[in-house]
Amino acid sequence: MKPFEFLGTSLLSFLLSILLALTVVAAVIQTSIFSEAFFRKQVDLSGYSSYIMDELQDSLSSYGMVSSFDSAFFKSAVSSDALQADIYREVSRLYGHEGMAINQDLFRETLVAKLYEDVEKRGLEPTDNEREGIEYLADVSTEAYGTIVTIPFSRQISNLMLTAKSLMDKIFLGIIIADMAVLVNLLLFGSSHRKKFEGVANALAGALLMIGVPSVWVTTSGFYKNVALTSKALYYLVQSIVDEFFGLIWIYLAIMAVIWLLVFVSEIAYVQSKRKGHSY
Amino acid sequence: MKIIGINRYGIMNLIISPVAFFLIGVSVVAAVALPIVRPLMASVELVVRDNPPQFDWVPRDSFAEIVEEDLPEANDPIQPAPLTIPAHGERYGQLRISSAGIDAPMYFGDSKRELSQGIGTYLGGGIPGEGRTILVSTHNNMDFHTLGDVKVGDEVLISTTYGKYVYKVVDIKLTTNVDTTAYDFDRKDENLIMYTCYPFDMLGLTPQRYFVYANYVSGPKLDLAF
Repeated sequence: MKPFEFLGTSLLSFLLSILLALTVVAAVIQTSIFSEAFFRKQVDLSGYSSYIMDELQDSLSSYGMVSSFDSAFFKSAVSSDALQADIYREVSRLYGHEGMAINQDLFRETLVAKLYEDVEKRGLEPTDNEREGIEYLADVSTEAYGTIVTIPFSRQISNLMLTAKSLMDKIFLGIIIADMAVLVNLLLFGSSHRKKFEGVANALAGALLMIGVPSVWVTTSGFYKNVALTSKALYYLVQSIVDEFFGLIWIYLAIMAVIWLLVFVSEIAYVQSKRKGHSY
Repeated sequence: MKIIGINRYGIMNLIISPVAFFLIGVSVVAAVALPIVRPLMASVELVVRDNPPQFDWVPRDSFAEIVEEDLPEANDPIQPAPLTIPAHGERYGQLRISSAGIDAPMYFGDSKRELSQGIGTYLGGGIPGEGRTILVSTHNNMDFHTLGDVKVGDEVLISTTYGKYVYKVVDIKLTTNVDTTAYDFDRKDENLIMYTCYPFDMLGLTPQRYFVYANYVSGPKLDLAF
């Protein structure tokens, strides 16, 4: 094989491997971080809602302790369905649906009704001062609800998300087009069938290593499990997202490995058909 | 030797080339991305610890391990060596006001966790023996429910893991939760401020706070000049 052809084929093969690696990364990012359905799934899988509920009940109980309402009252005062709905609204807001906000008014309204219901059940007649105290308690509890249920930096993330997603769509399309272009050039430029096969097989194997090796390092080192998040809910959500992210990478790598195997199988079939067509 | 028509050289090429692609690719990405990634990695190191965070951590109860009768009461200084400064969340003492029937554990810190278990000590203030303003509080429907029975001249006894302290009540004040004149952390003499929400049986939250001020009478001083 002429040196120029060897260099050309090798360069195209190397370029294709980089592009295939970028394709895998871009595809995983598109189907994970930029997917609202993925985020919702992680909220469910990680138990985020139940940890938020614990945090909320803990916070509200402490207000209750200074207000003559016991912790049992506040455990029953927060509806898990309403909380789940608000958490999903917050996730939607993260992905640019600005109209979706946590329904703090509904929370306050429900809480005030339950507070007076509890007072009545205890046979107490609150004074005007105490009515003010109950309203103040509802205000502070509503503020705590909003703070706890809101995902940290959600507004900033939401602004970034729209821009990044739009950019990512264009980048992903560009990478796919580049993949096709380089592959076509490799198949056309390769001096022989054998060189074309090697070029494609090496590109696939190179991309597998480029993504597979760092993925193995990240998942085996487990350094992301030591991230210092003080919120238990957020910590387990982040862990779930990272685990699922790398799970997706492995799925795409498996698909690439299958393609690599198919390339080999097709090469075997080709060689065997050539042998049948030639006498040795 | 040939496998599917590929000779030994071809086999080596199918192994070496992908590895070479990987090494060159990673080197190129590292060289291009390093100026961007390096400051990011420095930020990541700030938030990644050596171990996973502990959410079910239970603070130590150091006071349970000591014998109160053996605690020093005189005003002699305590050297740093036998003294262990309490950790956040740790129970380090007991506060008693016999005139009001108050006998409650003291914790270092005043977060929800400490206040739900006893008397919390504000971290921005001092601890007994430190010669500074000590600010303690708890819920009005818990250990400070009878704080209103405390009168000027009453004694407040605090036993800690390192000594016994006596304070004398000198003033009582009712004010709001935003009144910053209610406490003074610049004072150079040791004094104790106890506060809670008011009224004591209030239904709902109240912005009023009941403050009881006491001056240091006796107890070992901490020699923290090291």
